[in-house]
Amino acid sequence: MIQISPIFATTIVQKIALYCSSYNGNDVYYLKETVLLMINLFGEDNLIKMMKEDKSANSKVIIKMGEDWFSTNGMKRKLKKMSTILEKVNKSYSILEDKTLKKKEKEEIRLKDYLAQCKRLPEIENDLYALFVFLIQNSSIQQMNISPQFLKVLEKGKSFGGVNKPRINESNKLQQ
Amino acid sequence: MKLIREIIQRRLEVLKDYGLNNETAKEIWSFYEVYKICLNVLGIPDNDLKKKQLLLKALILKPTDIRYIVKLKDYMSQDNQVVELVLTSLQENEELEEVYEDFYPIDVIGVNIYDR
Repeated sequence: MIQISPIFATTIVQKIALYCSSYNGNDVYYLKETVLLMINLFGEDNLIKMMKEDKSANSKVIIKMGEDWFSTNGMKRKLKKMSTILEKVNKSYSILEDKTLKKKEKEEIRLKDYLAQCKRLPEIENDLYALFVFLIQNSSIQQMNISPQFLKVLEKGKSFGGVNKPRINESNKLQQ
Repeated sequence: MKLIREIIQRRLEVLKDYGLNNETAKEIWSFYEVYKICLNVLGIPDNDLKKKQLLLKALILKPTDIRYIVKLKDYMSQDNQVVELVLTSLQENEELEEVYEDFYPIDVIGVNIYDR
């Protein structure tokens, strides 16, 4: 069991909360962010060693993933490929979701770009989810809760996942 | 595994919201995010997963296309059982852990959980 320090634990839970309150590929971006951060906290060599010794219900997948980690079709290379796709998805998605931008500004980024990247989402294989579950199962973070304040509200004035939270722009106006 | 259960529950809440707001494409997408996590908690394969992933991609590109929605909703009705199974097993595990903690208070200094 890997003990994660409180500061990293909070960062990870924040990313997971964003994963829970996004959709259409942007959620997978936050999932990937969580996985990459946790790999670094585990240490790559240590993680591979732990994966090879896994005894969970999903051990068949995890052990194979650990053994093939550095191979041409291994997880290390897959993670790089996933990162490239998801960075592009997130870039276009964030602009499309930004309510402060005008239509003209958004047109420059175009929905087309976002959709073009979404076409590649099925390439994100089940392995990312297997790795995510493994990392959670083997760290102290598994006992943590997701604080409602971390959940992102996507639409103005709309309750999301049972949580009412003003958008950043609204809270600024209130303060003024 | 409290966190995994919470992730599943949060996403289920969110997808319920999408369903209530007639945002079916987002509802289906969110469900399959939960489903993929559940498959890996149970360690079971899904031979149709690639097919479902391609349908999900098609749904992002055409979120109102009724053909994709009907097909995926059909899959969803079966896949729901996997999610329910995971939620029940995680709930049972947590209850068991709570009973264990009640029986052996964790704040007893010098007692290792594995030595009990």
